[in-house]
Amino acid sequence: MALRSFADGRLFGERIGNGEPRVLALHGWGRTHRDFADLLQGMDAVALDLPGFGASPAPERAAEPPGAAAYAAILADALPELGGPFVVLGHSFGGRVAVHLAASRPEAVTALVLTGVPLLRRDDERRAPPIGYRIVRALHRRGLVGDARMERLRRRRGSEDYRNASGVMRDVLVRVVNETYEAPLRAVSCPVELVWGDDDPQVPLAVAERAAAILGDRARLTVVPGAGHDTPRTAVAALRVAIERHRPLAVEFAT
Amino acid sequence: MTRPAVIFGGPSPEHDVSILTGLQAARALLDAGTDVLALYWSKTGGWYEVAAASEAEAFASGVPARSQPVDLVLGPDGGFEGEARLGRRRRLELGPLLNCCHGGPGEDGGLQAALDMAGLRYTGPTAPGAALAMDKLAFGGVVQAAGLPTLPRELVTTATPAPAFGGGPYIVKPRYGGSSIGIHVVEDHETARALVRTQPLLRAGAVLEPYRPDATDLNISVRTHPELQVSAVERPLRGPQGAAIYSYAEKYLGGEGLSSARRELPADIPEALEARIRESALVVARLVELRSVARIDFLWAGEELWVNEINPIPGALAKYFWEQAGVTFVQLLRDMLAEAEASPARRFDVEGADGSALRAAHSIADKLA
Repeated sequence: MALRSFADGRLFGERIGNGEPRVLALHGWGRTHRDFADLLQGMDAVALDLPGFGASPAPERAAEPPGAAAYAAILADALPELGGPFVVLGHSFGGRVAVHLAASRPEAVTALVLTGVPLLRRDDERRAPPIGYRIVRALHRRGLVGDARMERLRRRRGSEDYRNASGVMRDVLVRVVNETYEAPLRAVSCPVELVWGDDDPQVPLAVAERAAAILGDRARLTVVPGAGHDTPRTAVAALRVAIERHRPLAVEFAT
Repeated sequence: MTRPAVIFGGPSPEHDVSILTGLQAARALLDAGTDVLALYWSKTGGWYEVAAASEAEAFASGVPARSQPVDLVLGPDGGFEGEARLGRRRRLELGPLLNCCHGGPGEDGGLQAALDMAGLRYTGPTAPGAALAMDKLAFGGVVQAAGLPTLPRELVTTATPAPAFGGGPYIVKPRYGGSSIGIHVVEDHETARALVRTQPLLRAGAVLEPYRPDATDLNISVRTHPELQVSAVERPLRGPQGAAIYSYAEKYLGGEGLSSARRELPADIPEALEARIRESALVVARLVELRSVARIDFLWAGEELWVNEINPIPGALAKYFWEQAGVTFVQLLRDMLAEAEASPARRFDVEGADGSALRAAHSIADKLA
């Protein structure tokens, strides 16, 4: 219910429960830690606002816009303060970050619970933009088309997330939607729970099935009939079961 | 009455909600046969004459199509002017302005001061009243000085020490501005200071109060014409997610603004409590030179009642309070306009500036010597 700052104000979040937190929850794009209010009830957990969302300030502008790995590095810096090791729950964009965190800091992550995470690029997304758009973009790069016109075209073409993003967050969005997570998935050594709505229009079940194939016997896929993309609020029971399966392990590690 | 104008929008986080209030007011007046002009103040500060019967959707991506730019001109011949044929200026003949701006300069005295200097008459708070109402630190201090109970409220900056009134959790609020945008519940003082350092909405100033999850929100409306009146007391109902505070989304994203939020009106509370709220509301109304209609928010826990905040231009102009009391929305608006027509919010006074000090002054150089 009450916010708390971590990493000298680079991250804000909420601690749920009075014990040492054993669950770390990472929300989706454009969302906040409050998505997990119901789901985490009764657990000892931390739900964070990822940089650029909720109360957490956006990451610094850099030559290379930060992607999911850079987000994971920001969380890794805060780990001594956050506690753990954790079962890391990642929804959508938060899951991209969770995979990188598990791959780079295996000692801090006892299990991953991923839901609605765009882990792998879909074939239908690999299409190049239409030729007209590419021509205007090329002309813009050469200074022959003004910024205002290019921006109008980008907005027309861009997703709702893109239209709503500004500044460095737009660069982050462009970067992460073009990322794929095969390499960090292969590097993950902990168990991975994939909890998916079979009616998720944004990240279809096929993505989870392909990820499960890459992970092999480390993965367990739970399909939630009728659930869409907003699983933290619509698939609470299935996600709690997936978290609970790994929570006792976290306690053993701690003692 | 010369044709009144509804003004709404404005460079404020509550710009969108203000459009909803303004369009509702304009539509109610039109439907009741009162001809009315609609003046839209854009997010970037430009003024436009727009169709009074517009739909909210027309403003979703900025200034609506076919809007006429107008200028607010200050000075003895001030007013709103538009472009006429042959490059001439056209003065808009306006009666009183129904100010529906929420938050930012439309509610904090900035617009009020400009309208005063343009010689325009308007509804809602005066410039000094608005400035006091929208400064939570000053408002709390004035209310406390008048002997009314308030929760302790302290300034919080990146350098302030822990509050004298005790430990967390606290509520951190923007010092200026009237909505629940930018409000956070925090565990400790360190988090409050980190928020002040990192949140743009808190950078202009922030206040810290004890967080009282046990307290109930109770709101009341006051209107000032044809006579000073208080409404019944309302208890807004909190969201299902156990939300820590009554959030902006709960207030406004439900549909037609505040008027569709869930509430209990009249609130089922002890009679003596209701009487205390009504009395305190009248004191607050006088303290902040209230005009037209306002909402005053209280917090109640057990035997304790605190004045929390005042909203001098409330969402939907607090119409649901008055409808409950048998005053239709259009009657409420007409009373507000009649009051504004009869009495300008502010007259400037030059009495005493009769030139005698100037005649006795000799040379300016002598004064500098």
